[in-house]
Amino acid sequence: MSDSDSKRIDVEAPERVEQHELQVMPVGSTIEVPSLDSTPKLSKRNSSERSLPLRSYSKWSPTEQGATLVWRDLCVYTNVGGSGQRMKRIINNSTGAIQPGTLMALMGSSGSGKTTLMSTLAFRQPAGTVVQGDILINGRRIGPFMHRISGYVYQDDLFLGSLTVLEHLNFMAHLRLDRRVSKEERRLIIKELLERTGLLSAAQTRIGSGDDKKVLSGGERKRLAFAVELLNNPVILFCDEPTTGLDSYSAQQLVATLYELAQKGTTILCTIHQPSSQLFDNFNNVMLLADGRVAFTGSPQHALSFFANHGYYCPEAYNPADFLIGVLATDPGYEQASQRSAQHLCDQFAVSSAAKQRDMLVNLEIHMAQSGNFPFDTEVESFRGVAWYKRFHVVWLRASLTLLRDPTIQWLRFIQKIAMAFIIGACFAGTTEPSQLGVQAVQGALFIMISENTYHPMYSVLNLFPQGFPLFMRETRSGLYSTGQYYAANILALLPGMIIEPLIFVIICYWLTGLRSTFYAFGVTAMCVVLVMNVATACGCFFSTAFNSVPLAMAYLVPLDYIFMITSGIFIQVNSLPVAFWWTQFLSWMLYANEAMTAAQWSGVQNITCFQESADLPCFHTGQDVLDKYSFNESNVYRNLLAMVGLYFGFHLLGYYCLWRRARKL
Amino acid sequence: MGQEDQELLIRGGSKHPSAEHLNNGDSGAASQSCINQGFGQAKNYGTLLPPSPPEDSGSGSGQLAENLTYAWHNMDIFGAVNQPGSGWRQLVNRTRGLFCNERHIPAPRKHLLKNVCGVAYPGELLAVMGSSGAGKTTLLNALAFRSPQGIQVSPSGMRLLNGQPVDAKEMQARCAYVQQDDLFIGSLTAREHLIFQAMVRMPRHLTYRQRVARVDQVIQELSLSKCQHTIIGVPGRVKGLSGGERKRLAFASEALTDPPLLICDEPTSGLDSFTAHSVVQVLKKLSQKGKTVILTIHQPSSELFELFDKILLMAEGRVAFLGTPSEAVDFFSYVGAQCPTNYNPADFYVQVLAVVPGREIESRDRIAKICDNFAISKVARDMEQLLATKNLEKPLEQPENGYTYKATWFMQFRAVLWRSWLSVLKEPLLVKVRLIQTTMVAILIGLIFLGQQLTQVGVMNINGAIFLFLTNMTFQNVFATINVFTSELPVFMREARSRLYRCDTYFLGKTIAELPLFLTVPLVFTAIAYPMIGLRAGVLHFFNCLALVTLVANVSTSFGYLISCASSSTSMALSVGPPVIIPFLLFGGFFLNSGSVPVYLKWLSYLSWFRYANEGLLINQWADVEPGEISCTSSNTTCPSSGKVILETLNFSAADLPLDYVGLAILIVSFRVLAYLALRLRARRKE
Repeated sequence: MSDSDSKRIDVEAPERVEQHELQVMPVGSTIEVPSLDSTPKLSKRNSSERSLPLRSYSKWSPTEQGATLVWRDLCVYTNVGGSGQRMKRIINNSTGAIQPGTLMALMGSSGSGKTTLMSTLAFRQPAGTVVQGDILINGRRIGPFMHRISGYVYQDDLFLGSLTVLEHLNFMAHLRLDRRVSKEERRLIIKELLERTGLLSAAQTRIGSGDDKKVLSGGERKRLAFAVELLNNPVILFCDEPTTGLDSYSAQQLVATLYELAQKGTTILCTIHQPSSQLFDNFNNVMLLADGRVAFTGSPQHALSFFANHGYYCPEAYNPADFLIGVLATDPGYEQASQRSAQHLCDQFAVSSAAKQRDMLVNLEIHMAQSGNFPFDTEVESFRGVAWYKRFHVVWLRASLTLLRDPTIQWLRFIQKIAMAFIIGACFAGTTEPSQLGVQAVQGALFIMISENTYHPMYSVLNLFPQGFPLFMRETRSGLYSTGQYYAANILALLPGMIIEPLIFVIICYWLTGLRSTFYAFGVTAMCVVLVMNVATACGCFFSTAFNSVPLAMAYLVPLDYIFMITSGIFIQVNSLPVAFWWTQFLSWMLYANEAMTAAQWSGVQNITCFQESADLPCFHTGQDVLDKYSFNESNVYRNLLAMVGLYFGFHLLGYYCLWRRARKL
Repeated sequence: MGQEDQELLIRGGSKHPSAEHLNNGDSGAASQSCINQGFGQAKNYGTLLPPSPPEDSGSGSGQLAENLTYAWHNMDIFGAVNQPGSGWRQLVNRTRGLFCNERHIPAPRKHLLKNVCGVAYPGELLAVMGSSGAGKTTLLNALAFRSPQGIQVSPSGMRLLNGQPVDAKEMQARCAYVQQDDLFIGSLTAREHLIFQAMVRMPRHLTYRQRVARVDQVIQELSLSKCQHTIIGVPGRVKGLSGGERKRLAFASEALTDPPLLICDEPTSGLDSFTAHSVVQVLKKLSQKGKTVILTIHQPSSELFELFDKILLMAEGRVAFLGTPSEAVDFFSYVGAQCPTNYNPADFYVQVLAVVPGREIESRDRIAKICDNFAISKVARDMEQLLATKNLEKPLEQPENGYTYKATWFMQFRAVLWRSWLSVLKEPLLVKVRLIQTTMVAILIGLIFLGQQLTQVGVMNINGAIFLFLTNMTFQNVFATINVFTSELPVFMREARSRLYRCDTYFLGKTIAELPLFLTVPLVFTAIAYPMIGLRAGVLHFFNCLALVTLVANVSTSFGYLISCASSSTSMALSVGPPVIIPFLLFGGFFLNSGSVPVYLKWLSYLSWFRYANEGLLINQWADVEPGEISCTSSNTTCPSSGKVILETLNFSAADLPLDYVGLAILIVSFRVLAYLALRLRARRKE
């Protein structure tokens, strides 16, 4: 076996030279569009025989010509901590090039800057990084158009777990594809992608999240992430650690898919951590990073011989990838020595012949960029996305499906609510006749109805935005939808449940407790309860977008709620509130609702029976006496209903503003 | 791609002339071929014989350390098969069985392990490898006598320690089992954790000083000295030990008693390569001291693989190979799959023995071939012989004593109390946050109700404030208890299963350790809110109120224990808690007059601590308010004229105050007893 290995290196070396000659030649040659399918299926062992797409000075079209990504003298700095403007250099003067049809592995020990380099090249660097140097794609500086022509598979794949594979792809196709793509075409594209990624059998499976059953395996999730990125046929694909967390077979499958893709002319850059020996064989190019510097670029076999030339021999029966990373890794305990040796290797590589070849390619590209005259805009500008209402519709549909499918929370909550309605109804049944005891019972029942519809919905909605935030950020940054569309769609998806649930609650509760049986009284109570629930969730939404973490939002929300509860009228008479808490009566929806509901129950009631036991016990004779006790006013009913509607929209506007600010900042 | 590669590797290997030769079973003629260099009689593999005894073999028998050879033989294991709709079908079967006189219809079972044999020698690190689903963990669980429910170990299987059959109890005394996921109490430091473990794990006769000395020794051995004073932390929430350190700490707790046999399930999963290496290095060091170490591992890197003394390869529930790594190379080239150079052998073996989706039959055939070949190889035959001669060595010493628990009741109690006390002190959620929260809420209520006068409005406000005291004390304590208690329950379950301490010592220790906090919180609250609101003046009145509020805090804590012990998870407890509390709250006499409680729910109001406490506090506040103290205009008929009137309208009577105290006390005791019973039931059910 070792014989054949060395032979392979020997055979490949001359081919590689040819490849570079080919690269230099096409100056002024005719444009030749390589048809993707006619490329003969090649054995992957000698992939460098592939015919290379030819490029011209007069046209910039990565979809036709394939994408050549080069970067020169690239430095990336990132903000370290909060103390002032301290920047740390993550990528140090790196130069490199990837050509169409290449599957390049970016390797290095953890902390060597793999992910940073890749996200920078993909124009998806995190906020707060400073990029210095040129990054060119077919001679054009990268910009926001990278989101359209490139795919980026993140290390952590984010999905809405309650959707099925097919639904997810469908939604994504709606959002990502051009508006002129017909329904039929879309279906074909999705079908073809499902076949290609081997997800056809899993098309109806829920994606799933966490530990529920009936879900995609890790490998299938990764492949789904790929399928989504492949929807709009990217010319260049970035994959961040695609094999992490997969077992060896799935990893192998995944890399095989990548390899096939590269064969068809896509440029692929892939960070990888600890590939198995077999996986490593699939890459026809590796780039080794050490501490932000390039330690090697070229074929894996060359890497081994390069390392051997400088005194590091890979032992037999040893995984070359493990070996290469091991040489460049910083050994705890011998930091200085290992760093020095890694730096030495980087220096050695910078002056090697492989580096010179690479530089030649880079310089050619830069020369093309400077002297070429590209009508840049045709390809990027011709794309037309889906209309805004269509986007809104898709996002709303997705949010609704997620809510409906959420197996535990939604139904459990609903049942719990009905159970609560029955419990409360049973406790108050037959106690609300117009007597002195009845006054207490009615007021108690009204308060319980309000607080039952305030706290639980408010806290359960707190998680909605923080939980979806990573996905929202990722999708909104790649331009799939705007913040407003996302916010409004989510709120709209919540709304039906937020109306039906309190209505059912109030119907059960109202008739069981036997409150006043006029249509007016019931109508006001029902409206109040529905509004209370909606205002409470709006307030929850506002706090969750303002703080974007459940514990933090809770820390501020709980005291506020507590104040609202105390000042809702039943524990303290509103007129006797201290001046410092005067403001709560304008913000407290609990007070608004309590006043309106109390007024609806007691206005016009004339004959309340007094205590029979003794005459000197205090007695409410009319409904007005009850209202006076709480200093409520029966003419305030409509004002209060309007005020709650106002609060609802006010909280949602604030919530939207906070989300928008947060999305802009990152 | 994967299959092609596999194919290529295997075909490439089988071109080896000798391999084909042997595949024909023509072993006689092959005496010259290179296979026999590996497997012929010419070369004697000493590795299957026990390695030379360690130098200090003169160690006295009184020492805990003894060298154990663990052999297992003919292990057949069956697992329950979960068929779709099997519940219904089983029911139908049962009923049919009843009527048709067929008593027993066996449930379908899956053959998980097929006739697995093996042996692990002292001083060796044995790695069990195989692709997922090959039966690694099943084997390990069976070896440690910890098979989960629904797994049947067939009685024909034998597990022998030094040639003597063992049972679960004997195994427990000698074997340490480190599970894949480690559970710790996050607020302790590594050293504190080890000291606790030493208190409950080590034999009774040792003194405290000896135990601490052993802890120090173990910390040295497992190179934990750097992080011994770091808190363990909770992954993802509280920063603490790193993954590798946690794993080493898990080894350390097992190593305290110096068990001769150590079994680890996936010790390296979730660790990066460097840390994984250091963890396996630690195991290697332990094995070099004469311990028998068995571990499962999924995809070791080349570095790791070099550390193993022996490997046991499993595929499809069968043994594909057992022996040294160098023997493995020979064996696999003999069966026609030669490991290429510059290839991690571990990756290669796992690959060869994997069932490739889409080509199941082919890969199963290959696996069967390899397993059959191993079963008749010399290595296997040697092993069989060894097992056949049962009494290898001296018989087992009897375990030290017959106690189920290592520590006495009092020692367990002291250790649990100490640990719980430490975690109470250190858990910020418990002490710091709680006290700050209580102070803030008390000040808030105090400010809103600041300086109430005895007027008609004042009476209403004071009654409201008093009820807020109760709701606040209840909800705060119930949720705090649920959060803290349920987060510790998994640790309890595991430790109770390992028989570290009894259920009652744990419950007592835990609750007593938390008691001071639940006395301080009401004190702080009442001391701030009572004077600010301007409730009834007088020392006696204040202390009466304090006593009642303290009792309420403890009733709700007990209720919190009950809910946490009875429900299966934190979220379950949190969602069950409020609906159960609501009726108690409604019958407290504030939202619903206690005179108008529906008859059929009267019993529920006797369980309501709100009712007792509300009555008590209102009696305390109003009983001695004379007529005229409350300023009313004479014309107002809705104004209560005296304290007695207020109590009367609420249907409370001043004579009931002692009853309220008794009611609260009974509730505390009965909730706690119920909580203990629930906990006990749960601990037993899981076994």
